[in-house]
Amino acid sequence: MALTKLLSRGLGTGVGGKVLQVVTQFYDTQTSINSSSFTDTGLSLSITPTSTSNKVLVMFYPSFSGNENAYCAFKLFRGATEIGTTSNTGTGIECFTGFTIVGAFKFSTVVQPIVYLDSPSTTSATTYKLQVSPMRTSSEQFYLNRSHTLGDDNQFRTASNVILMEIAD
Amino acid sequence: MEILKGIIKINPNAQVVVRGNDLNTCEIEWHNGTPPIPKEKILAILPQVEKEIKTIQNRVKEYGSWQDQLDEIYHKGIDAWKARIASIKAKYPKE
Repeated sequence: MALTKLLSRGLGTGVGGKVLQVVTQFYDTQTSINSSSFTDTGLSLSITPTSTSNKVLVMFYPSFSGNENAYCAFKLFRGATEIGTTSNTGTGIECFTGFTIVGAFKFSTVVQPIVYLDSPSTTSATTYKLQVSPMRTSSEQFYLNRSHTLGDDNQFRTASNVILMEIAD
Repeated sequence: MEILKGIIKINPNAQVVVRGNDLNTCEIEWHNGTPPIPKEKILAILPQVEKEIKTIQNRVKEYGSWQDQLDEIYHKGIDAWKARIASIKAKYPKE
């Protein structure tokens, strides 16, 4: 369906749920984090929805490693607003998802899918980003796009991806 | 480059983010009041850090898996296992 038709009268029959645009970020900067603060991973991408009623399918695929007992908590943001988080309260840190590095995982890299269907209700450029905190009570490191140790070819240099899709209402 | 490991070796309490793997071009963010360390000082300690990593990796390779080590202890006894481990540690000294 032509874009002009979408703009002139909204979506035609059967268009709802279709993908209207896709933007991507390929990110391979090796980033090493040793901080108790939630920190930008560098995974960040903008999209400009064509209608306030459309949704954005947000997909972050960070490839990471860490020192043993790094408690990697991830938070997802639209602008300065945290999204996709739990409403539950109590013990445990509130975040989108978490991953604890144990044993030989530090020599691996893992990809943790972070997928969320957002309703940004705007036609302005909207930026999504991922933050991580590897340590709150421990002192362990987080590594994006690489193994914890890069001593030889049994460890890994990798890349992360972000995909945003505007979905017709 | 193991930039972060070098920084932590200089200051074990450092809270820091390193973006990039080349000390000449990476961005270093110092968090929560951590005093910045000059890049020259980090550069100076990197050979030692990378040597330590290599030493540990060489040792781990020759130790074998923990399953194989348990099997070795079962069949040859703990003293034989300890002697072999000691010889590996001597072959790859930490300093």
